[in-house]
Amino acid sequence: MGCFNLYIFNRQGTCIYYHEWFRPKSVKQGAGTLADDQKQMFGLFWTLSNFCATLDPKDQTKPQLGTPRKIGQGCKFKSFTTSSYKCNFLEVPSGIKLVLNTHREAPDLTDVLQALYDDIFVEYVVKNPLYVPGQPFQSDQFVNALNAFLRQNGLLQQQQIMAAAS
Amino acid sequence: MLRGGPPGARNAPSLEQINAEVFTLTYGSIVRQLISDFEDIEEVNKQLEQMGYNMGIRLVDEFLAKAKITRCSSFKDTAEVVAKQALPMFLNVSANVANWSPDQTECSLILTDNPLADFVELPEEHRDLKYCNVLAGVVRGALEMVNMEVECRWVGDMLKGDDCYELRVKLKEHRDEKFPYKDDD
Repeated sequence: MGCFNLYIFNRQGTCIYYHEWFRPKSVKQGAGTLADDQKQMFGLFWTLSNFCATLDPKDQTKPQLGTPRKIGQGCKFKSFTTSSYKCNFLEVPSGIKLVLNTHREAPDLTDVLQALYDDIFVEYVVKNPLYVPGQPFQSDQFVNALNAFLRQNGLLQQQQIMAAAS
Repeated sequence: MLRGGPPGARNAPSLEQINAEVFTLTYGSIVRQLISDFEDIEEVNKQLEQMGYNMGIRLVDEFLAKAKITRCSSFKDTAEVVAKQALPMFLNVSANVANWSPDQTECSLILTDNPLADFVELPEEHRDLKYCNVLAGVVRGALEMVNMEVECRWVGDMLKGDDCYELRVKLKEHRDEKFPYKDDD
């Protein structure tokens, strides 16, 4: 299994962190610029979670599509799988959103993403005095911890990434 | 900041702890320094609140990561979580939630023990100092990050002879998640 890329957004829709491990189709061929790519990904996340909450058969209130919601209201959208990749999502109540693109055979990554937030993002970013809440950040320590964490979870094996892409 | 998390928190890794007296004395010297820097007590109260706010907007992530809580469906739940989980986790004291206003938008967090104010006596010329105002800021900052805009003020202070510390928390707005971009950009 392998990871392709990771986006971290805040509530304002700013992509505060982007990491790419493997992206055979460059951004230029897709959205054009990295900023547009990130904005589209945020929009995708937003629309999918809103749409899924609208479809929820267990929700008694039957909200209209696009109705503003409170945090955590309605069901949560976790991932979707295509024939070539899997897109995993996590949203935490403080507005941080994680999007991780992986190989399509990846198992349910809800717990992995939660642990990524709990043990890596909070420890290395939120507690870093140089991090200004709401601003994009760069931190070598975070990158190292992130890579180590994903490797530990078997999500960062170069050969498999290559195999998945071919 | 102090001691570990509440008992029973699932898989919560133990938080780093610091000696309570070091913490209390450090806070005391910060307040003391602010008083000599600003000279105006109102300004000191404001600064303490602002410092707390800046802590609160980060602290909430730490809390969410460590407490493993499920979502709070109402302001009432939120107040209980602040009193029974967040305060014990960071200050090692818990509070009671009381004095609800009839429309459920305002309540008091009541602390009978407050490690910030151990060893403190307020001198007569500083009667207007809200010594623990940093806490008011922390609560405001942390709740703002979960889309609840609140106003916090101290209505009871043991340093001024009251029976307990009473922090009045008023919910001004419980915001919806909004799509941050306009349709046309």
